[in-house]
Amino acid sequence: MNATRREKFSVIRRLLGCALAHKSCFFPGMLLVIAGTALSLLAPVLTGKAIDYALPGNTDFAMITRYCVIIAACVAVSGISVWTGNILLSRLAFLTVRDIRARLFGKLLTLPLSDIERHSRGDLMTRMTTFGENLSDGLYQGIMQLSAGIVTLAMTIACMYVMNWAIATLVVMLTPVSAVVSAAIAKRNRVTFARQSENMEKMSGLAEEQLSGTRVLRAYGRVAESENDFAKINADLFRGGLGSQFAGALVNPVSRIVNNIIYAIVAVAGGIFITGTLFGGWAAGIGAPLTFGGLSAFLAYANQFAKPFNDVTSVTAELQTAASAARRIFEITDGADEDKGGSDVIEHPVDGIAFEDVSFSYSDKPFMEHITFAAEAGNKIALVGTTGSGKTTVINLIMRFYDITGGRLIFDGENIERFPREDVRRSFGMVLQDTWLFSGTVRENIAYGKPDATDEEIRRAADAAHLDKFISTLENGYDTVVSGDGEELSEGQKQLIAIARVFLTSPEMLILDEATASVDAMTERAVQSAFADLLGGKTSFIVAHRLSTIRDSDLIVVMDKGHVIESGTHEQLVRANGYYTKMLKAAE
Amino acid sequence: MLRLLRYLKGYRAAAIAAPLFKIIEAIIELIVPLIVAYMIDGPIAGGDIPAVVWSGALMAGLSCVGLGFSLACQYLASKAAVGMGCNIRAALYSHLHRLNLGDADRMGTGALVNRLSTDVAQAQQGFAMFLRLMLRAPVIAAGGAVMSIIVAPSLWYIGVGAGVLAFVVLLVVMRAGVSRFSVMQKRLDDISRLTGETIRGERVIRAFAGEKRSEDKFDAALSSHCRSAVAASALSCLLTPAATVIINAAVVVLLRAGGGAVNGGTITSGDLVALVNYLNQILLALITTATLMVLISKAISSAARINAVFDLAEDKEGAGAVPDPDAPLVELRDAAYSFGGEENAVGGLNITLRRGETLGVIGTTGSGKSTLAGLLMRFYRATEGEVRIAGRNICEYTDAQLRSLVTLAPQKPLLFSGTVRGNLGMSGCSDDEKMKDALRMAKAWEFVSEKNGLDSEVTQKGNNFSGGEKQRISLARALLRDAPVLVLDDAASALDYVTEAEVMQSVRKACRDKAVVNISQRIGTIRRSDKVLVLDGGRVAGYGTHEQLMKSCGLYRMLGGKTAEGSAE
Repeated sequence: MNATRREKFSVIRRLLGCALAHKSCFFPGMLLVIAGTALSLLAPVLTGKAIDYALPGNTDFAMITRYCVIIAACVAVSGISVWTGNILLSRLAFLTVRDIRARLFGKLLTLPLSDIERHSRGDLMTRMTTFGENLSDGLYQGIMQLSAGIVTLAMTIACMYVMNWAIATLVVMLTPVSAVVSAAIAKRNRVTFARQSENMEKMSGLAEEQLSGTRVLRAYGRVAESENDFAKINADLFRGGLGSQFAGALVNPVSRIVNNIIYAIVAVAGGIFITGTLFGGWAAGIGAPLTFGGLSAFLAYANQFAKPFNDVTSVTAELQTAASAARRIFEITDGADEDKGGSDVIEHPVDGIAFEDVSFSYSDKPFMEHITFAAEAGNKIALVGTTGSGKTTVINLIMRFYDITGGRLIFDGENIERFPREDVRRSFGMVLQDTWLFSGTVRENIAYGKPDATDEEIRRAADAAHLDKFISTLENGYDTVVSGDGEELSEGQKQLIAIARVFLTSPEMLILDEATASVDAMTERAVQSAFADLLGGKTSFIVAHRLSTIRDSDLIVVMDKGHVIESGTHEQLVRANGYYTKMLKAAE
Repeated sequence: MLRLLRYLKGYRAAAIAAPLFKIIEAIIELIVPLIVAYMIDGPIAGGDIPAVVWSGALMAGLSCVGLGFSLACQYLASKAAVGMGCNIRAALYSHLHRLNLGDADRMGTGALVNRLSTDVAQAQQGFAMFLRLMLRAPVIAAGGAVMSIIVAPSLWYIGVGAGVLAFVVLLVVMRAGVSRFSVMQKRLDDISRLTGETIRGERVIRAFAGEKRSEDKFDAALSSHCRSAVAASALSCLLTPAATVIINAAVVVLLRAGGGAVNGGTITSGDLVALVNYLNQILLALITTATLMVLISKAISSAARINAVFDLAEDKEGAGAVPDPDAPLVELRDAAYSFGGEENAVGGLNITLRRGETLGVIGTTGSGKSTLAGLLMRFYRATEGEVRIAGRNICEYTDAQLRSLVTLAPQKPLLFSGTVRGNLGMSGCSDDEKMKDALRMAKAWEFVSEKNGLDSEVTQKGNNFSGGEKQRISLARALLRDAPVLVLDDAASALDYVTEAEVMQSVRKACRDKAVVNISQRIGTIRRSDKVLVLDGGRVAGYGTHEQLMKSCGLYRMLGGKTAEGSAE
């Protein structure tokens, strides 16, 4: 418990460190809020003073006017300063979160892929969005409410002592009641809230699965069953929701009753002290006289005495959420970046790539072992095999998305680790089966690898990828905006855009990982011939299901379960009459 | 938001009683300053200490009664809000499973789940706050104004003026605030979209050295989010100080005018204290409302998003029809489907398929193959011509009738968490041996038995199986179904050729007395079909047997890759 608490504090300290980067918001904002709050709390005292000058038949209008002016000035200044202070503090919170989000995003681009892929996409997105929001809420509320709450408390107590020490002491003695009550409610809230968010997670999980499977559910007539499952979780959500909603709703009435009782006590005590001042003067005797105006001021303070306690307890809850959100974000931003690789300069053209007894594992279990083959400059290398046999992993290793765990990977005659990762990657053009489009125009997507490409170049690349006809059917041609998921395009069209992207960069070497898997055979052949024209004589690595497209490769590597089981040219493999031949037959 | 109120069903009484109790509590609260005024002018001025104590006790007692009403309100309001939330969720969930699939696809599952979780939760929270706090504030404010008139009729304009002014400011700021908050929400969506996009594109971004550009784009999105957030909070921060200034301005006016009234003897000092008290109560009520602004504006935009989903049309089932046993099982007459664009997604379909026949469908990328599958499943309804199943228009059947006639194995294999048995059981079959046979036919028994047989665990969406394994289980599930029409929508696309050929052979054997529509990219998969339909850009490019098409259809030959041999290499 203690250790986690210390950890929480250190996270909060770190968060404050980030916030301090914006000193020009932090300190003025806090000062303005504190000063403004303090100033506004003078109003009840001043009002009380003014009330004392209103006497039947003997009202001192000059004094009342003077106090009115002072009150008006105080309140106006306080209003403006609280407002600007709040704006500065919320700006501070948003700027800080902006910085942290920018850092997190930067990490998404620099962490090793293996570290990123350990998290699900949803997990990382939650950290960016929800947790980021928790942070800004926590920071803003934390700094603002905490400083305002503490000032209110201190100022209220100070003003009360100035007016009448005896009643002030009475109120201070009652203070712990407020504190204890708010803390108890806040604690109960946390428990029910945690239970409810568990239920919510269960519901989202079920909905996600069942809604993405709605075609099957409808086709198999299982919608009613699915609704029943949902109704069960929904019933849990009702029970849990009622509990947590009601627990949250207790804060106000319960703190109000505590407040009201303190109010009544202050009224009675005030009344007694006024009589003690008017009749007998014992109140003045103990140095605690009270006027009607003084009572009015006391009542005004008592009226809002519970508020700072509520604020401070709700802030601690917010801060805890913010701290755990920050911890989850820092978990990622603290990760070590992917190393930049070596610093040797690649001498173009690259003189071949070779795997020498390479092994690789994602975890302790070896995934790939004893991979040996060599691609000489200008070779076309085909990787074939069943799903999950390790073809894509070979690509990942060449592109240095992953690092080998054994053996040697030779690039241009040297160990690949001696070259900068980025330079190795830049020497390849890569098209993956799982194509990536970003939200933007078709033009921008094609020009991704060469942002300064001319329209003519883009058009030529699109032609080569057989996109021209398709693009001309689009409403805005090249300027048609596609969404990030590109859901309006078919898989095949998306692949063609990715292929055009590579055509445009005309890289030195080529990697095609099922690049045309979703493209029909006819278009595929046309695109293949464009590849041949554009990249003729360039080293290329091709992963393909359709064996007809790789028949002319210089080397066909047949993989199974993380091993190379056969390799050679098409003719050699056919002669060997092994697994490759079996695959060929099946494809006919 | 108002439209969602119809989901209050079953909780209407609670929703009405809650604010009523709250109002009673507010009225009790409003009596307190009167007691204070009485104390000041009576017992205190007269030095009657027991009466002072009794008055205090009365105040405390009233507060306790108030607490009772307040707790009742909180409970009923919680119940009404949570109940409404659950009703919305259940209705939305049912709606989503009946939604037109074109619309559902456009929205995306992620967005739909968000509607069910975050948006419903926010609407519920907003409604609870509305019942509990929003209604209390105007009652306290109006009540305070009324009471101040009762105490000092000559000063009526102060309480009324302050209350009205404060409410106008509140409403104006709120309105502006809600729109600014929704701008901010959109900017946050941008951040989330860019993040998701980047995580999906890790490899491509790194391969093309696009890190810097991604960061620049993200920084721009972050900055505009930050700006819109500051703009929104500048308004929400304004409410509390503005309310304080307005109320204190009223206090100043009260002191000036009230001083005169006390001087003239129309009101007492106690009255003046009570009046100040009322103004402070109005202030507190306003501040509470101000803090709700963010919650309420979130609830309103969530409600709008939920309503937008409810507005999407549902697929209606037919009234019911009796299948004609002698008619062809599948018959398409000039059927076409359009997603609303100028061109049909698929059109000119004329197909007749009898029991025991198979139809192979092949075509270029985006040629409308999956749309055809959707037409046969009534996921989409023909926009021209008609689709007939067992002699009746497909639209005439009820859902249950249609599902007993046609079944589907989709390209994207959709498994559900549970066990393999549970997934296969969706077909309506509960016989273990039959399930095992189906798995063997789909070449899935090998890897399933290696795990834990039919009891093998299936995690969410079947993610503990590879794509090819999922397709085979999904295929086994389709084979278990009794429906006479089986639609295979590229159902073996993730399998390598060797496995696919074996699977297809056993499927053919198992489906001898069914009508099978087999959609594929691979000519090897469909060449043995009785008839083959060739699609190109939504139009029929050929229809006949493999041999006929090899002779007559150039596209078919090219899809098979026979004539193009050599030209590519």
